[in-house]
Amino acid sequence: MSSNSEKARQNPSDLKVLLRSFRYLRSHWRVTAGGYLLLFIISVLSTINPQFIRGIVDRGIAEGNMPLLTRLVLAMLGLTLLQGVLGFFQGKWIEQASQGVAYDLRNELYQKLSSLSFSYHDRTEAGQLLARAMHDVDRLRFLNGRATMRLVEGLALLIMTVVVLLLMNPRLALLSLISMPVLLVQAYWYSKKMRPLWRAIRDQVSEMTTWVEQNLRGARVVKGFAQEKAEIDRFDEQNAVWFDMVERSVLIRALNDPAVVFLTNIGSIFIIWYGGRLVIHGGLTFGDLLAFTAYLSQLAGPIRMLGRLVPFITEAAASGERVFEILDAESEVEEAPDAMPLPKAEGHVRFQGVSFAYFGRRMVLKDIDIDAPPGQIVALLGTTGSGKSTIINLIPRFYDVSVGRVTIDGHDVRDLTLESLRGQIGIVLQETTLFAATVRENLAFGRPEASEAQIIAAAKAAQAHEFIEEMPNGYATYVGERGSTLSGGQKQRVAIARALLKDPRILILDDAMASVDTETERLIQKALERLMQGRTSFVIAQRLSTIRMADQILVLDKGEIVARGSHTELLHSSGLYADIYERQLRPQEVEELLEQREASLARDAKRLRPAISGS
Amino acid sequence: MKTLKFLFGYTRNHRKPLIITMVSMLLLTGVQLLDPQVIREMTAIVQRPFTDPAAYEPSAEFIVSLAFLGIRDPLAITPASVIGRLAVVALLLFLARGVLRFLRSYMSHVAGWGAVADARKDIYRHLQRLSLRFYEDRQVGDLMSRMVNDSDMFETLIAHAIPDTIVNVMMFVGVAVILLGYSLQLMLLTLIPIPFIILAARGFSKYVRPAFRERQKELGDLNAILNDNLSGIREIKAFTREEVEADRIGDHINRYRDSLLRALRLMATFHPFVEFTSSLGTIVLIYFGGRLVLAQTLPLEDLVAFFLYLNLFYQPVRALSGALENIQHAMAGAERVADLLQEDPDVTENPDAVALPGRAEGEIQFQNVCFRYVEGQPVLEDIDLHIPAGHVVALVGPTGVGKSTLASLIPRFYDVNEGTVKLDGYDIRDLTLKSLRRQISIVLQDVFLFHGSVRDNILFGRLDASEEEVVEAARIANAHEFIVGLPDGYDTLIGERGVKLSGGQKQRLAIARAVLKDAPILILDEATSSVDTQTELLIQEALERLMVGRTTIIIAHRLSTIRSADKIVVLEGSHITQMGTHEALMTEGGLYRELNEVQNEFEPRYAEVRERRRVAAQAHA
Repeated sequence: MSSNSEKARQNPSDLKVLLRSFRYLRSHWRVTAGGYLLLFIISVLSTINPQFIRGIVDRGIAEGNMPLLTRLVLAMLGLTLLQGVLGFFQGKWIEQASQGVAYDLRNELYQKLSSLSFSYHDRTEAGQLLARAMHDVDRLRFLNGRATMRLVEGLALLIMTVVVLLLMNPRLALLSLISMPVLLVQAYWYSKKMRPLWRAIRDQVSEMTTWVEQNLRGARVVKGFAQEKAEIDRFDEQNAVWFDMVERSVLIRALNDPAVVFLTNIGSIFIIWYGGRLVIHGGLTFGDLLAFTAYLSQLAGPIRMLGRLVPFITEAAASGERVFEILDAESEVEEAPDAMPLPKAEGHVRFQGVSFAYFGRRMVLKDIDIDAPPGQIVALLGTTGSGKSTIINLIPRFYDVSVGRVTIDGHDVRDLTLESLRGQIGIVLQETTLFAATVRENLAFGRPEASEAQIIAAAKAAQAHEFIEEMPNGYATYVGERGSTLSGGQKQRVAIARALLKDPRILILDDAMASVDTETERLIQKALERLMQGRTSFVIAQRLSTIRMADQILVLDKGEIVARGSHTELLHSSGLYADIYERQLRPQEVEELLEQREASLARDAKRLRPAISGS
Repeated sequence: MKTLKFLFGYTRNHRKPLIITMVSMLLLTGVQLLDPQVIREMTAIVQRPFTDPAAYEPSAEFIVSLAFLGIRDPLAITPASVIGRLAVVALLLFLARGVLRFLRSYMSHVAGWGAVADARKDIYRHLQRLSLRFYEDRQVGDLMSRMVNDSDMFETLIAHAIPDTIVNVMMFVGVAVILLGYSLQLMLLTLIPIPFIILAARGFSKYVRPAFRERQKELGDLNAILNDNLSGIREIKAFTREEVEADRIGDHINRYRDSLLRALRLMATFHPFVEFTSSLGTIVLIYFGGRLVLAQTLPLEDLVAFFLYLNLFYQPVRALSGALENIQHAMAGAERVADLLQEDPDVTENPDAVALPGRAEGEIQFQNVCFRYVEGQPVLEDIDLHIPAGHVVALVGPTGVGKSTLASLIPRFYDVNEGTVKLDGYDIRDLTLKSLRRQISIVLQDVFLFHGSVRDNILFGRLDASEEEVVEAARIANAHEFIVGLPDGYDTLIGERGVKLSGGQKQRLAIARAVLKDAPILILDEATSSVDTQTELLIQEALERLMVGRTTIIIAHRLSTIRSADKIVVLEGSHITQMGTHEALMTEGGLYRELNEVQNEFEPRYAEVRERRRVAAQAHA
């Protein structure tokens, strides 16, 4: 039966993980202790209860003793009520304890996650972390709460019942309990068998879901290749695989349920057969017989639960391992113990001989030297993967350099406190994450204490005020996953406003623009110009306009700066720059030109109209 | 009612299991009703005074039940032999119950899940039939939820809600009839707790279930906010908001815990109440039944039977309210599925559409074409364009001007609002969609790859292609080399859960796909994103190979591409404003020439901005 449970017992790491998770109960010891005390009392009461049935039948009804009958019934009623009340508190306390554990674990997990460095988050997917914070913690909660409670309850009830039955009639007890071990093994076997199957079904469903979802998103491709028929066939195939698995699980379950009921009832058959004879021959009272039946029916549930819990506990250990793995992870960017705060920065940023490799893999940046005096705009250009983003991530110390150093006003960033360093750097990324909160909260993200007037001023400067006002609840409109969705252009402006509000000396931005119409683009352009004014700016440039404003343009290729200079200089000196210009920047000129033409046409029309109407 | 009919349509394929379900359900109810009779008979036996057989007069009922056990002469029996036989009967009943339960559970699930599978198949088929316009304003998430979650409701309904309702009603009636046979008085008394049970069930669905729904909502919120936070962790760090966010998360974790505890507390409060209402029945029975037995008006065995039937009596009442709620819930899901299936595709095949014979020449003609996505906002107007077979046409113009829309009209992703689009002289609306789209390859800027192997993705162009042909296509597309460098070569899984390909690699796979399809018409959306020079050359070479001998429409961004086209079409607003070769357009003047001539026209303006900023920076310092 228990190769696995034995493994669980023998495997010290599993045991350690379980014990470690139980340690979290310590801060909730009062409710825990209370819960288990009640659990014990209830088990005793449950063992007493059938004795009343026995008394009612044997002494009340059989002897025609009406007052005794009434007293016994009332006592039984009282007992049931007491059990209910105690059960209420017991459930509540145990639940409180386990919820407390989950609460503590989640808080601790979150604290840990937000202290871990970027490279940790690069390596792990957000979805996976989420699963651990939610699903795995829930398993530990169940383990700490109801799972252990049921385990103890089942064992307590089992032991007491067996003792009482043996005292009442040893032979009948052994006969009627005969199916209990089988029931235990059966429950274990069943959940052992079903769990992987259920998981396989879930996986198949999510496989199908992902696949269909992609298919719907790629509807254009499917239709373009006239592949609808083939896709339908493929789906039918997957659907059939799913159905087969479901059918198998349904079959196992349909076989299992009656088997369980049957096994539970085997005891009753013995009670009828052997117990009935005993009653006739006077070896047992009819009340004893009924009490036996009551004991048995009371035991069946907990026994099955015991069987089911064993595989669960091994899984919970795995969950615990996953949770503790995060809690034990070490952050790669740690504040130096003697870190000092960065005084109000001038904004002189320098890279000196900087090289960088992500977790010991190949170099992403090689020997980078940059000198950006206060107020300069540095434009970074290059193909994807050329190292642009890495450069800007090194300034707020999202990663630590492998070789060389990054300084701000002469201070190595590693000697500064993270808060003071990042507090003076504004960041506007290409993909702006807005949090599920109001627009106001999103704007004040970098400066929660900002006044309403300051927020509005920043929004106005970022050209965001107007569209915010037009939203259903203005600045109080909820955005993010479940709120109003903002367009790419709107998000970008919120991000700009956010950075403006923070008023940093150093600015990092990615000026790539989501496909927006020309009008919006003009607005964003204006907002960006305002934002960069008077700040040292590092821009991953996609816009011609930004590049033309830059004081120095750095062209990157495979982690190295291959050319630097102004737009006109580079156009002649760098082949890569000329190529990027041709592909990315040139089309923008086309649009600018068109815009100008339209504007001049409109002007002409305005000029001509009075002339026409005048004539 | 319509929904119900729609739903029953899906049971048609599963008649046999459903009939078996119904029959076994009926039999199971019967067997369950017989169960307590065994104990009742046993009680009768052990209670009867056999010490003086002559004084004993068996009741008619007892004789019948003895006959049922195979005992003809009631006076010749010994109690022990009856007990033995009763044990055998009990065993048989339990066995029968086991078999019937198995049949009911298995068959109803087979029917239920079978209906779900059928529904999903239909939905998927339907989704494939719907045209792109449908996808334009639909959330994929919503479609997915209908396809996955709502269709699940079919199973709830067919395998659980409906059978549960029937079984429970039958059980209740059956028990009532049997109890009535024993004692009218006592049976009426046992009805006393029923209003309380109904009240408890009602209260449960009114207070406890909403509390659990609330918990579910809090859980969803916590999930969402955690997800939000974990994906935005970089921002949080950048703005040094770790502590504030931790508080916010802590708050949600708190709320989730509280909502769960509240739900559990309610549940825990209700639980004793429900238990109590049931024990109320026990109390009534013990008190009144006990009196009746003592007064000799009710045999003890009948009282025992009452006890045994009691739970079978109350259970259905409790279960019914849950079953009814399930039905409502499931019906809402079925309705959403039905809505989706009723959606009509707007690009439909003409009933007398003809298949384009063989391979098209590739001559395309737009005549007076107008198109709009939304009424009153024309995207294209009066488009007249003739593309002779084998020519390369470059579409030029600002973003959002309708270049992609123009190209999308050729494979009939959308239907024109006015005018006609012709292929080799056929109005494309007169052709079957399959034969039309077979003639066209599309290579888009953001390449869409499916979750599957590299080979699957190339084969998408032509499913029956041989291995050699796939490799050949990959070679032509300059993709072979990087593919063999992947961990599993052509079998490497790509897409959402597989290896991530770079933009340049994706592009070449898309080209390979098109090479394999070998269609006479090619629609090309030139990428604007930058790849390194070497990759760029590889892509360029692949595209040039692909274009040979095909009518090509390029949505062009690079002047070099535009220059080499046979014809350049300039789109402005919703019209074609200029058309011709590079040379012709250069002599003609207009936008095209201006485009080519702008070089440093904007430079002075930016120099000015730069200067302004410098002054501001100095002022700041």
